[in-house]
Amino acid sequence: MLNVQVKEEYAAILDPIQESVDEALRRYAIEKTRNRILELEQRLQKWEEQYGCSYDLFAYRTAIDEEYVKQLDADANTQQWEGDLISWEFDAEELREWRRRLQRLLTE
Amino acid sequence: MATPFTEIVDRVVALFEAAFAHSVVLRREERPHLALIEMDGTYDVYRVHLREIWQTDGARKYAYYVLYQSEVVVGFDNASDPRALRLKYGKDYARHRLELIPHRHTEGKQALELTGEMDCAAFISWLKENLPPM
Repeated sequence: MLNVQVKEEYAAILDPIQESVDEALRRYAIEKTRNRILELEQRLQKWEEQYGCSYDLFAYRTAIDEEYVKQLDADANTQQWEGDLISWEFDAEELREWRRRLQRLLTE
Repeated sequence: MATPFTEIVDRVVALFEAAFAHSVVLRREERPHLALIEMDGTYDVYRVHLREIWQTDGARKYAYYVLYQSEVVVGFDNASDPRALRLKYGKDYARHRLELIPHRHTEGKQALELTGEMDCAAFISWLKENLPPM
């Protein structure tokens, strides 16, 4: 547990202070989490636009479809698809984690 | 905030910066369960690009590229590339599609061969030995 200082003018309005601070922090955490999720969704959208599919489908196709990876390798814009897969995986995992966090905050 | 990966990522950054000119960290993100580094630099007339991800279960994925005028000249990675899987496992390769297979791409990514596991230090050594400055 951390101690924080609250300006008296706020404290007078927010009584009971502990409950109010908890609720304010919860709302702020939800807002921050939603913003982060939005940011990550936009990042994933860019990958999806570049490769024309979802992360799961891309990871699947690049592991089983030889013709598909040959096409990716033949194009200078997608030649680094293995590296993109790494970055994309990180973003997708991040998004899953932040969605889990939001779920926890909303059900607290 | 330090994570289980901070020291490992620091080491990769230091190695890369020592080996390549104009080194820049394009992206570095660390979480308690996952870390990512992306770097870019130059080596003689080439551009060098590195991406690496570490997970707490010990898994590490990497992609190291040497580019000349936006084309990949050489690339090392351990993606589950179906051509690498086929080289290792033959026609039943799809059953192993979740395995990481270290391999090297050459000839503008037209050729592929299996390799041992690479890391940043091994990549730098390979480069100095096999692609000496012009």
